[in-house]
Amino acid sequence: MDALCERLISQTIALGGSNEANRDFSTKEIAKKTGVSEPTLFSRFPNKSSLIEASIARCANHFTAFGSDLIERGIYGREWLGKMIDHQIEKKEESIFLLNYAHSFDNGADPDHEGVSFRGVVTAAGKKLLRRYEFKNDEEIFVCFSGISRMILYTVAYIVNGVWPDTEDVRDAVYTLSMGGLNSFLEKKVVS
Amino acid sequence: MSRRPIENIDEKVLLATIEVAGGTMEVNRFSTKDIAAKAGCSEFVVYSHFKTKEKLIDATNAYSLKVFIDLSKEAIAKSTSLLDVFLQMLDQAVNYPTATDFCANYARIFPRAKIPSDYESYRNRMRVLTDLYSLSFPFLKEDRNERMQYLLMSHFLRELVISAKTIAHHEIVDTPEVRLLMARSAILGLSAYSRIA
Repeated sequence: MDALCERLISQTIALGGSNEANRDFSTKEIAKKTGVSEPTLFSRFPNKSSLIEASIARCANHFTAFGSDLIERGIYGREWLGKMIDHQIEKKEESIFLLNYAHSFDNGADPDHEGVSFRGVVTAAGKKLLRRYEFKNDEEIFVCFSGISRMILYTVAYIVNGVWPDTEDVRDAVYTLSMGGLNSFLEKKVVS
Repeated sequence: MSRRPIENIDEKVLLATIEVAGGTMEVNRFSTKDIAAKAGCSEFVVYSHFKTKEKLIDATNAYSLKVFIDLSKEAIAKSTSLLDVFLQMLDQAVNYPTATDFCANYARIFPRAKIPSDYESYRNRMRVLTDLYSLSFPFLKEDRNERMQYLLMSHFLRELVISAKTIAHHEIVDTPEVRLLMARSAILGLSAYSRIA
């Protein structure tokens, strides 16, 4: 992938991650912001879907690489979650881009029409990042890790768009929800 | 001579919006022309009743939430735990995939880049749902504030919608075990999984 591909991906994330899905998000606009023509864009990416896929891959790689690096450094649990939220706030456009366009994280495109198996991406990331847990099969890893990823991205979106304040209370609640689910907040617990 | 008004036109348009917007996988890429055709009216009627595309989505969201509340009442009456309610509502959501996709694409429980124009009224309507659930499954006293209850209830709804969508789009094999896994993951979080000692 050459430097122009990288720039096109950066502009795709910047545009697609700063608005609602598919609003003001055309290849014409991406090319213009990158300082190239639309035919030049299509010389690197044959269609819009392939450009979106490459952009999702970059966002997901950053997410996984950062999470993995924390674990390599012995950072787990509450601290891990807090640092992931900080990282994704810093990369807010990548966070919103994943929410807008990546299936399995949220409401992205139809997986049947995608060239990338998002289930595969999520499962591979889960294997790297959830080493302290024992899973019976890949379904468990996928369900578990896609849930954790969503939790982080939704928290970031709520903080970035101003619905939630970025306070310890909110972060504590998100951590408790991740660890013990809704059960942690119920008077009458579900037997696990 | 004026035309005879179409009976229940608002509801027909709302149902058509769920079908058309929920059946279009790309968010914000649906056509009001298709909605009008599905509802059996003209595009003019759609706009005269709902004014703008955004208001039509807002009204459809409100309608979907009302339906969800009615279904929840039935599920809660038949269930002994929140896990059971999740499983029953998951059945409903999987059986109505366009409504599930509509919610995944447009429901306000999913945070977006910007706060939607009807966010406050949507949050108020969510209180009705929270009150309903907390009657049977009360939250801890210290968590009975509005913000926390909204956080918890929206988590329940999001996980339900995404789980149903994952099943409906065959991204995971649909078995009773997988449905239970999804329900346990939402209700029990990471504690649903075995931790390596």
